[in-house]
Amino acid sequence: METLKTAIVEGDDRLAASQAGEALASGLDPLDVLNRGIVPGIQRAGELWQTNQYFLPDVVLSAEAFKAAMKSVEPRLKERQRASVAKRVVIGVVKGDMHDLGKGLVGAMLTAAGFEVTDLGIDVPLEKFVEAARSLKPDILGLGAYMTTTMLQMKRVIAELDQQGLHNGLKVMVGGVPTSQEFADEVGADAWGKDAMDTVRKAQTLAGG
Amino acid sequence: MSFVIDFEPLGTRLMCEEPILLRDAASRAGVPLKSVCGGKTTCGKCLVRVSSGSALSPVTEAERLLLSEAEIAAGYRQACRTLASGVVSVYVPPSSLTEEQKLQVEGAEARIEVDPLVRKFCVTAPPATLADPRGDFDRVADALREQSGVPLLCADLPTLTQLSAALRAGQWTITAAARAGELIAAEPGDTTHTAVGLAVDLGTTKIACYLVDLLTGRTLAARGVMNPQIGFGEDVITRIEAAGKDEITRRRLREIVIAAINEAVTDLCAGMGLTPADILEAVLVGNTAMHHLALELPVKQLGVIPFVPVTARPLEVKCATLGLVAAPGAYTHCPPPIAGFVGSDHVAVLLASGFGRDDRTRLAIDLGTNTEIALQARGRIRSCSTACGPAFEGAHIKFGMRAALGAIERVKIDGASGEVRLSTIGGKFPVGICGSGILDAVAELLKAGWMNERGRLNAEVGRRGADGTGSEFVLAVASHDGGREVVLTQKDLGEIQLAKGAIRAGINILMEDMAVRPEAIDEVVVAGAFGTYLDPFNAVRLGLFPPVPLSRFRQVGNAAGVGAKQALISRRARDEAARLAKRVSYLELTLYPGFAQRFAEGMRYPAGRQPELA
Repeated sequence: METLKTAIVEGDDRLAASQAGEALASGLDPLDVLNRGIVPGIQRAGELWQTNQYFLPDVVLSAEAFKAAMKSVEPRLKERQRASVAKRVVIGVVKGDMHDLGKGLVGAMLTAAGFEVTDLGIDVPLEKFVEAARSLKPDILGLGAYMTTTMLQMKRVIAELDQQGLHNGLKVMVGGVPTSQEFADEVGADAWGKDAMDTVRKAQTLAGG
Repeated sequence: MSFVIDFEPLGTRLMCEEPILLRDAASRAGVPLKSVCGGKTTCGKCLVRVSSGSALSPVTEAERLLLSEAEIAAGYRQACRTLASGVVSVYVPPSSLTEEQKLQVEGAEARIEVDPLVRKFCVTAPPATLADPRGDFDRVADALREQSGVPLLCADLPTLTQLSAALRAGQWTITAAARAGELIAAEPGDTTHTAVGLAVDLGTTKIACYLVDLLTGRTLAARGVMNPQIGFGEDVITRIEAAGKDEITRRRLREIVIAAINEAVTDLCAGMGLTPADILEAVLVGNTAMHHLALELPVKQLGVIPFVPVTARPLEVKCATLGLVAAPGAYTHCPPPIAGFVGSDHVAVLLASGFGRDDRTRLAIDLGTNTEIALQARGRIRSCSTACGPAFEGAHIKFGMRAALGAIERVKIDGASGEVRLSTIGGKFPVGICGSGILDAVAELLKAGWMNERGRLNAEVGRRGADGTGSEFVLAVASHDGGREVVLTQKDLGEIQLAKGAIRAGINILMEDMAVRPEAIDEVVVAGAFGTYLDPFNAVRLGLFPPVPLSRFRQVGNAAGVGAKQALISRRARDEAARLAKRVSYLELTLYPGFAQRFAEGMRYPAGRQPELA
């Protein structure tokens, strides 16, 4: 598990993927691989980022290594119930937008913080967000947009959730380079994430955990 | 409560602690604002326009004597009378500056055969009489066919109007400008010895205008002006968003750009003893967003994936329709875009750089706010676009500025002694640092071991940032004669890393997709103004460019301008441009598997890279 953790801290995606695969193949519990190898790795990267020892390039590489490791572990996690105490977050980049990097960082950092994250991907239509809210019943829905031309999609998603009565227990967060607190207020979001670390802090507050 | 005053289009920023007159702020920020009367508000030369921010003193009576109601309503103020006490963004018109900004428009020219679409013919028509009451146009068309064998089939209304007057003023001898069977201008007498065209490279940040002799193919005059659309947004997406708001804004975006071109053209013509009516043909190139905005085409679909243009065909638009000053019937030819935001300016770069003409493995990098990259190998050409941002043009860098007087443009660090040697544009005391200076500084920091491969400034050589966070490296110390202290902050280094990462990721992905190794590249063409001034040695050392031997690099300046001129003077070049546009295959970087990883790898600085010379 040390090697897997290190691979993620070092941002070595190939090593992270092979270590995770080997661990699963040798019969280790996927939840163990997650909690003792992957999560500590991405947590360490997050700490280094917070203390200004890691910068964006380092964090991006760690997030990629995290993604690579999760690729083999995640499907196996679905087969078992995750501990019910974990708060659920669904994230996605709105329709018309394909910027992936920020979402990757947010997903990785949220997982590091103990959330259960479902990533809907990029260019996600309104219907898919609404369906995810309905069927997965997450605690938080995170919307990302990286262009001024697509950020208004968020307003439509939130309006639709309101209309369908899905915005009651669910908290909605927005983020992305062109967004701001004023924008978040304007579109009816419950919180705004300035960057990946801020998103985690706000999510923790919103989820009351 | 400190606040920032932003001076555009120079891109200089000043942090202020107390309310300050804009004139003093400009002086402290190194913005060379004119002042003939010494601040007494009588000469009117320190004219500025407030583009955003409201923490300003009210308009004074003294200003009302110099400015019209319309100007005041549009935000114009005299800097010597305006006190700012909060965040404000100020646009300084070129006419208010004491020195011109260095706006590089020249490019490496290639000799091509001159073969323009518009040709001039002197023709003498028999005068109209009762026995021969043929219409003016018909008589000229008949005479031209007889005398030169050239058919004239049509003419638009403004040209017909010009024709009738010219026939009589020239006593039935005129010079007809013909374009594919259409009469587009008519002047009295014989003016076949002069034929002028206009080529425009419409950049996101800078517009380059060239007056070209259509007989010899020579460039007569050139001028670079800032694109006034910057007021609506620095990047194309923001401008597209603005255009999508309403029709008025969309029209305004076109109008201000055309007005800027017209102003430059009128100046250029005056300097040559010509008038804009002498311009017989124009060619306009630009990235797809600039192209669409200038033509007032719908851009909403261009602002979201899959970033689709309205057309990928060449366009012929009457100058009059665009509002461009020119001969009455003159056309503007717009070569086609490729795909996404990779537009006709990139096609022009490829045309000027000889892509598609031989089998050499060639890499072209057109550096700018959007950097386009093309790779030609084994008969294929692929292009991609990276929105690397304007960090290499000085934006988002604390003391960053465009290449103007006082900008640090070269940096050398002696790792042993710790001495920092600088050279600035104009040899004046430093007020900021421009792209080439930034590149040098980062490369030298890396070489000296003062910045590690991750981009972190060594705590021993940096010092704690003024705002308490991060660290900063002092490049220039404040001096008595007005030199500012210029630093590079850790945050600045991060911005540069992001830009470098984006550009290098684009290059690496194309090379991987087309299975090309650095050693196999025969030639690297570096275009764009920043590309001309940068030191390729440092660019390779930093990992901005792949490790291709330096002798294979060619810095070609504004190749888009050269390509636009070629399309203007040669029909063959125009056709070649259209074929190139069709032939180039576009690669959408952000959808490439592993893009994020390539981006992160591109951001890392190579350890101990020593560029090969040959």
